[in-house]
Amino acid sequence: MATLDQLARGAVGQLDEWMHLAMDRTVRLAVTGLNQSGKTVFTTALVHHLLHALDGVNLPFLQVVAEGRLQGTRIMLQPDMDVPAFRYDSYLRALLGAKPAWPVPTDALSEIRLAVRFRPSGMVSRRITPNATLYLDIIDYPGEWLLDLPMLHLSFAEWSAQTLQRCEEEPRRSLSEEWRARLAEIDLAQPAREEPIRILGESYTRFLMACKEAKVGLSFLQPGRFTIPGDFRGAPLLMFSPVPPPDHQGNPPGSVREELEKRFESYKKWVIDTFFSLHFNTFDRQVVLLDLLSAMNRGPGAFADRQMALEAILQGFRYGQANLFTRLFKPRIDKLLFAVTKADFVAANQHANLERLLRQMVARPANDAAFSGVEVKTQALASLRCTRTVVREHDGRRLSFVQGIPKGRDKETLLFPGEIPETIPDPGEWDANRFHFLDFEPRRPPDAETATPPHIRLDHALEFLLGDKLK
Amino acid sequence: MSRWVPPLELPPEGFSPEEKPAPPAQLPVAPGQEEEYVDDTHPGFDADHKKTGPGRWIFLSFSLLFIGVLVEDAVVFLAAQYRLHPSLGISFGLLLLVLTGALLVAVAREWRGLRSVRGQDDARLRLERLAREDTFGQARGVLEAAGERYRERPEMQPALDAYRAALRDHLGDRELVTLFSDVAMRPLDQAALRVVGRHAASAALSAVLSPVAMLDALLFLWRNLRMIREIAHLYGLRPGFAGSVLLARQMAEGMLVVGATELVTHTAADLLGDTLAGAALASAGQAATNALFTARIGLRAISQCRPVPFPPSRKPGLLEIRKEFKGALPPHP
Ligand SMILES: Nc1nc2c(ncn2[C@@H]2O[C@H](COP(=O)(O)OP(=O)(O)O)[C@@H](O)[C@H]2O)c(=O)[nH]1
Ligand SMILES: [Mg+2]
Repeated sequence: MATLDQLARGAVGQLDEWMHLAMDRTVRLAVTGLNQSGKTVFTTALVHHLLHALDGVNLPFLQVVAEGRLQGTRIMLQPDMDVPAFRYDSYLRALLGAKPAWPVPTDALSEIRLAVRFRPSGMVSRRITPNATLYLDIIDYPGEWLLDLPMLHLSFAEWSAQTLQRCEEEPRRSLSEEWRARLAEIDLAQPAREEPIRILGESYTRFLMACKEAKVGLSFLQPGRFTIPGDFRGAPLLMFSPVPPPDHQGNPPGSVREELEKRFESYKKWVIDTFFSLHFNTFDRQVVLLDLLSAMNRGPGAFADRQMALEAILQGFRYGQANLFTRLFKPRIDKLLFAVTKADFVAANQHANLERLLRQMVARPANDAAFSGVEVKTQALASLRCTRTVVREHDGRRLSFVQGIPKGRDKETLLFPGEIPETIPDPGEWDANRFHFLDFEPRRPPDAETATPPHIRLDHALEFLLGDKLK
Repeated sequence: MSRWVPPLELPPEGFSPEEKPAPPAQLPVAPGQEEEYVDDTHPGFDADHKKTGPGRWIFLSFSLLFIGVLVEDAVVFLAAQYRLHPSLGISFGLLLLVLTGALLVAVAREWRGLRSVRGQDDARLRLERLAREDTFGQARGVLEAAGERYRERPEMQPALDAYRAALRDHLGDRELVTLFSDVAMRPLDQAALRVVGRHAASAALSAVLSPVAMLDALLFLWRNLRMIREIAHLYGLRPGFAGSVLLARQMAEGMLVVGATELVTHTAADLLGDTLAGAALASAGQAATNALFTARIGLRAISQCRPVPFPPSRKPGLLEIRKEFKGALPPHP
């Protein structure tokens, strides 16, 4: 009988609630994404809206707020002494200052801890703890660090071969000219000396940096730390380069080639392994931010490269399968959010298609993750909304424009950036000027003193990531 | 494939910074849109039309049989009283007649009361569809019109204001329906859950009192109709056709079970030799069934009377009713 079944489910629900109570209410929420994908702005906005959730109707889709159970949020002292602090105050001052500006780019991991006080909704928990506290650690780290993951199961020779092969194609081909000239000069069999190796490494780094430049916009650049060295700057393990295969003799001991290989292996050990065991394995929830629109701006080539980078990054979340990484992965992540950022680049009626595109891009890893019990969601959001949608008649068609101040200008413009297709367009249909997405200046809300700045769907993201912990 | 429009940039002439996102459209949004709508997706709509042929006959004869058994049970009860003493039998008989009559009148009155409430219209069906799709820009007007219905209700104003304050022009149709359902409907939902809790609690109590299955079934019918009527009054809407069919079926099921448990209780009490413990056990079970069925009918009535559907994850369940139920029971001594 359905009623009995419902009763039984009710009982199980209560059991669940007890278990939940017995556990510590701490969540480590990790935010990642490639350079400039909007991690800093996202994290700042998240903290800001949680701190000000009671000041107005700003997070209507976050249940704990909608149900009036939230009691307040505070920034706490950081629990991990050896991790840089996320500089919320200074980012916020930049964003909401008299002359709003985007935060300065960052290139390392940082962390902030919040305490969220709320009234539990369950019957059991209400009786035991009328007020509960959720400790929320938000960790912002570069997605480039995850990009290195595929290197783990490659030998130096295999990795070199793959990397060199990618350089056969444009735009890598012409950008790598200088570095490949150096490769041709150096004798890999001669005894290793510091200087030639450093010169080669620096040349390879310059090549990667050139690929990363905004106008080229490539993303699949390994090793990730070469472009954002952080603490390792200048260390030998960031001074190597892929090399062509040996002709016959192999690697004479003490040769340049052997030294390069040693550095490659140390990079795997000291950089990649360390990140996973020290940080990645402690995350409970993960947000992967994607700047899909800027990638589309740069045409099919850069877009495909971005997709390849994404696949590499997502290997970190494909722990359903038995793979070489299992020794590294003791993952606890049980919720995974893929979010397209900067949704305010396009009009509101385009968001559904934007989400559709994202779903196609992450379909495979999302399936894998879901299969191993991870809850996955995809959505489009804007951490700080800088435009508004304006519908105008143009040449007999009703078009949805966005209005805002483009980066580097001081006047508003009305922009129709092109419509988001339902599927990823074929390169044939993808004309160089099909899309024209502009970066915008942050806007100071007219009532900045009292109101929180506008966002798009941050509350949906929060509900997915934290809703169950705030029940 | 279809040609795309190339990007273009214009000066924002004629734009006033205060311009609000499009003013809410009137209820029937685009006139062309209505023809397009065919209600082929409503759950349970088809199933109820298909009951023809043998199914119908089985259903009918079962109902008759059931009513027959109920009447028989009443007659047996009266006969037993008569055997004890004829005057006992006669006065119980009269009482039973009066009670049955009164209950039938009460049922008819609730029925008329319910019919006088405004029926659901197309708006609800449109919203059900919008809640399932990825569309943009259609729900706002319909929801605004749904909110207008409660303009005269002061207790609704804060919730409606909160809904309007949360409106943003980037919200898609599905999000708007969820927002309206979550925020604007909150006071009505809470009041409706209280109504259901109250009726479920008194259904539990009255099951303990009645000695005759027929009265139980009638009482159940009356109470549930009354509950549905109260809920309909709260929302200002009564269930649409499909919803009424679902509710009617659930009520029939409820009457059957409530009547049957009463019958079984009699037998069980006979078997257990009319001990106090046996009777208490049986009637406790009966009370629980009675209350559960009432609660389930109440929940369904709520979701059918609301001007907007519940988002899938937000449907209140028996747990919510239990909270209300506890509040409605008399305090323990
Ligand atoms: N329009 C818009 N631009 C954004 C938004 N979030 C980030 N950006 C842009 O993206 C740039 C990079 O953001 P940031 O958070 O520093 O990226 P990070 O490198 O991933 O930390 C900013 O300078 C902004 O130009 C947003 O919500 N809306
Ligand atoms: Mg950053």
